[in-house]
Amino acid sequence: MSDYYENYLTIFLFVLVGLGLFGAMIGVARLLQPRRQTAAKLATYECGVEAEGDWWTQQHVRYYVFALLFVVFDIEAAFIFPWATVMGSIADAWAVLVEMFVFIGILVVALAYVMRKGLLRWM
Amino acid sequence: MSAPAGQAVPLLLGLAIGPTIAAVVIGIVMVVAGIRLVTTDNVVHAAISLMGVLAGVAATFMLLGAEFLGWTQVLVYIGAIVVLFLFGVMLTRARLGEADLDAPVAQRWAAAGTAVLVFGLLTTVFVKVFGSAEITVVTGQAPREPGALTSPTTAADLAHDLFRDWVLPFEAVSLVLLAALIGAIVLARRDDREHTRPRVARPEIEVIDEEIGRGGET
Amino acid sequence: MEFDGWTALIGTGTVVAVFVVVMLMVILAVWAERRVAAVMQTRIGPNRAGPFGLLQTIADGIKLLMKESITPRQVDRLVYELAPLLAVLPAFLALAIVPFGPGFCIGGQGTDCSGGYFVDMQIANLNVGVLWFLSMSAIGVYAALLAGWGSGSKYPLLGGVRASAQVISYEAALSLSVVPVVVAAGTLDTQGIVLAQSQYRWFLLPLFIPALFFFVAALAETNRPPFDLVEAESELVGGFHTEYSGVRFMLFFLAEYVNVVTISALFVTFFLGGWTGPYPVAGSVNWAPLFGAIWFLAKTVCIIGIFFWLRVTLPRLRYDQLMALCWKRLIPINLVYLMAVAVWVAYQATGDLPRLVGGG
Repeated sequence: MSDYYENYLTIFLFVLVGLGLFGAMIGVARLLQPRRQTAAKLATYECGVEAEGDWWTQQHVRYYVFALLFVVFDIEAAFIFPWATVMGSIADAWAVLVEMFVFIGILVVALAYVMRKGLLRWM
Repeated sequence: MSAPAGQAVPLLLGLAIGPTIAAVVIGIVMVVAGIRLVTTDNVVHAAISLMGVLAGVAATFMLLGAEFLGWTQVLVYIGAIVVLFLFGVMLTRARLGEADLDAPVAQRWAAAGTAVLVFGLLTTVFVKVFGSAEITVVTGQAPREPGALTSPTTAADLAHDLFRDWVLPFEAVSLVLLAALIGAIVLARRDDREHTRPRVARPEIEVIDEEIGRGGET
Repeated sequence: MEFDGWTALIGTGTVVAVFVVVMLMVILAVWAERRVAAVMQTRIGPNRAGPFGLLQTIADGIKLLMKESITPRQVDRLVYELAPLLAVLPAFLALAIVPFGPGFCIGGQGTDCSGGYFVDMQIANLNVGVLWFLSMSAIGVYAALLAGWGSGSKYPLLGGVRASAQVISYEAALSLSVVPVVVAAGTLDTQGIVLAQSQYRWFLLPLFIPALFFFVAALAETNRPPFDLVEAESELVGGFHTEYSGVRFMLFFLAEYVNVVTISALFVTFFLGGWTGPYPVAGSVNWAPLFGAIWFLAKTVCIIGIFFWLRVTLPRLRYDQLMALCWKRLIPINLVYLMAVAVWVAYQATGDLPRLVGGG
């Protein structure tokens, strides 16, 4: 059993304890809480007055744009992290630096373009 | 902190017991989640099942010692791509979870056929290429022999490969990401002069006066 | 080190210790926040339950446990029940990689602790600790998104979408502000990051801008004021957890405060030198682990204090300001700063300037 698996076993244990705590709270509450359900209680609260119409509303496309931007920057981060770990120790540091600058540069241009097109403007 | 050299790992049928049990459990979870994913009618439930499948993939990577890859999988796929899916379905006008997702029978058969084909292809490739390979998950951060299947693969190992041998594909990735952003622009373009509305998904609540709405920017 | 009962016991001990410490900190934090806010607003604050009102949080917890937890008819059961779990669990799990002190050796000798057991004062010393933290905060996004959708109600849906758009945006800013730290420390392992800051080479000074941005992003990630648009009661009722009551509401509340503790602990780890302190220098005295934990907790409490201070001081942002701040300020400036740090580190590493032709 190597340290590597040991670490993950401990994390697994951590997850189990966390789930246990969650379950215990829900369980204790179930034992302690009163249960007197009425139709009015089970209705959607929303804002205090009776809910009108359908709860489902279509969301604006701008949220999607931000999600897409997030995906792009998340993937960028996934590439930046290995680069970041070796920057101080790799032999041809300047070459690696330039490679990453080209990468980041393209994304900065992309972000600037998105900004220029007014997508980051919250209407 | 390190294991004594040559310490025997308990074996069963030539397999290390702990990791094998873990692999089987992960496999079962993934299959169950995968089946739920394609059988449920509810898009959000499908997304939750998809998270299960992707978590299984990540766990498998980690089990094989590809720690960095595993967490990147969680970070990018579970953390970002599934969120993107959910935001995508939030744009639709159909009420989530009650959309009619029944595909025509022919389409179902085609999907099943594709699934079997991909499964066969991947299995053949993996068995042919890695059939008898053994992965030794060693302790600590011993330097990796080039090409050796010794893990955990650290972020530094990946960086050395990526920035020495795979520079061009790496730079190509940034162009792919650029294309994705341009896609975003096309999706949500607002032409300032013509006041056109977004092409996809017109909002039900419209901004009545765009000038007022824009007053607060920067 | 062989895997046996002792190793398992040490692992279990660490896990239980972390849970106990964090729960205590959360209980105290909720009380302290109310008291601090009261002092700043010249009120008295909770002072009835126990000395100085210290037991107020416990009283509130018991009250919420005994309240009826109503599940409205219109909810999607699976999604509705899953959301509180996805709020609480990642908040705790992110703590797994926080080093509370230097590791110490029981019963062994030498630097490699042969024949004994080496106890890390953290749950798991992962090689990719930073990624673990980012992954956990990424999973936390689902709490708002699923709670909003699962409730089957208008305001929670709107609040959930808003909250998740806010959290993912600041998640991007957060991960970019950690990158300079990784560049400077040369590792993704949190213990390594702390050791790279020993002898007062705290990253706070050279990386002041990333540290500031990390803190701002942390405020937004945890939905704390001034970024608490999610629960902007004037616009969205209670935000994504409007339809939750009783114990499930308590779990969302708990998650918020655990997140505050977690992210403060990570700020200390990344920028304030973690457990390093004036006395003793790591490893020189047997008491090093204890002092390490004390320094660490003291620094964490200070950061949590800043969270409280900002809450009573700053007014809430508007949503367009919030998004503009993230995408037009934090992220571009972070990228530029990152490039500058990288140039500096490359210069340090190679000791000379780039050869423009055939570098390598």
